[in-house]
Amino acid sequence: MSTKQDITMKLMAYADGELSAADRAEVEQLLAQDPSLGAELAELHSISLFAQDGFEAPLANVKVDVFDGVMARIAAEDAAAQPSAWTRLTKWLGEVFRLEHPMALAGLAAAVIAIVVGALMSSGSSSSVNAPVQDMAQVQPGPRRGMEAEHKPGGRNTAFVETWEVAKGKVVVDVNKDDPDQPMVLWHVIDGEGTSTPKGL
Amino acid sequence: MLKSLVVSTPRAVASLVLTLALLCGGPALAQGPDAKVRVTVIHATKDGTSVAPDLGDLAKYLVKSFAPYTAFKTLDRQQVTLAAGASSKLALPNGSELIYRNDGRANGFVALHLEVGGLKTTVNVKDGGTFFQAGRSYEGGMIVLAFAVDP
Repeated sequence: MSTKQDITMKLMAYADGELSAADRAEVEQLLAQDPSLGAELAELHSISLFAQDGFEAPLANVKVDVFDGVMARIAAEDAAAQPSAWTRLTKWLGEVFRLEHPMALAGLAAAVIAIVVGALMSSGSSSSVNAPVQDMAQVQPGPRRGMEAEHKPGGRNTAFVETWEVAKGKVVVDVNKDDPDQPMVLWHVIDGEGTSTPKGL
Repeated sequence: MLKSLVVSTPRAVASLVLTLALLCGGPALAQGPDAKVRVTVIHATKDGTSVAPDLGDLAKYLVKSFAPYTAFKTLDRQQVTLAAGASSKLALPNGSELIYRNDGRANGFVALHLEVGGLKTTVNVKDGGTFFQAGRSYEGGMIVLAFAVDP
């Protein structure tokens, strides 16, 4: 015995013309016996026609500019998704240090080594000459002119002591802090010679 | 692996170029044009108050920097143009010898290496600038050396 749902399904198939001859005869017999099924069939027909109209609407009724709008939105989203320069840099560095770009890593390592070696070479003479000497007597370097030059770059007589070495005596650098144009004085005084640095240096 | 090498090659080349530039550029910066150096040997004493007129612009600096010395007299002068690495000598009245050398020019400064009376030093002086070296005794006073580097 067919349930109500089975009958409705058959009505839908009947309305769509999908039933075999035997099933169609059965549905028509049911329609003759039950007038309410006729009303249901009419409703199914109207729904079917409505759907058919929707799918087969003339192309002229379609908004053709929808496509352009969709493409514009896709382009905007692509632009927004483009990573920043910093993101690309960090991503590249990450790849380098994960050894995905071994040549680039080697290049970076060489550059770092070069910078370190260059810094050591530039300061090498200073440290070697300034290193304590066994027979060196008092060495009193005093203030460095170079440090002052950083604060008073306009001094026309700016000078600074890079290295010094004395066998005896003491070295005092008078940078004349009160006057940046006053020349630096590099004193080398040996006790007992009768000279002494002025200003109590 | 091959893809990584191909992709990273331009960056590696750039890094190596930077490395070479650093290695070659450092020594090049230390070199520079000639340095024109004027050395003035001055006798500073406390005998009276007098400053030799030929000391010119140095006079005001001497009076201010070397008080209580009050008298300044020119003993000798030397003006030389030194190529980078070149040196010059000057016999001083107290029997010692001054040796000075142009160690190069960089960032507007000239590096002068001095050897005098047991002192060995390298001083960086601004182009056109002056500095003094002093402290060694001589005939009741002391010797002041003024080094001026012309721009």
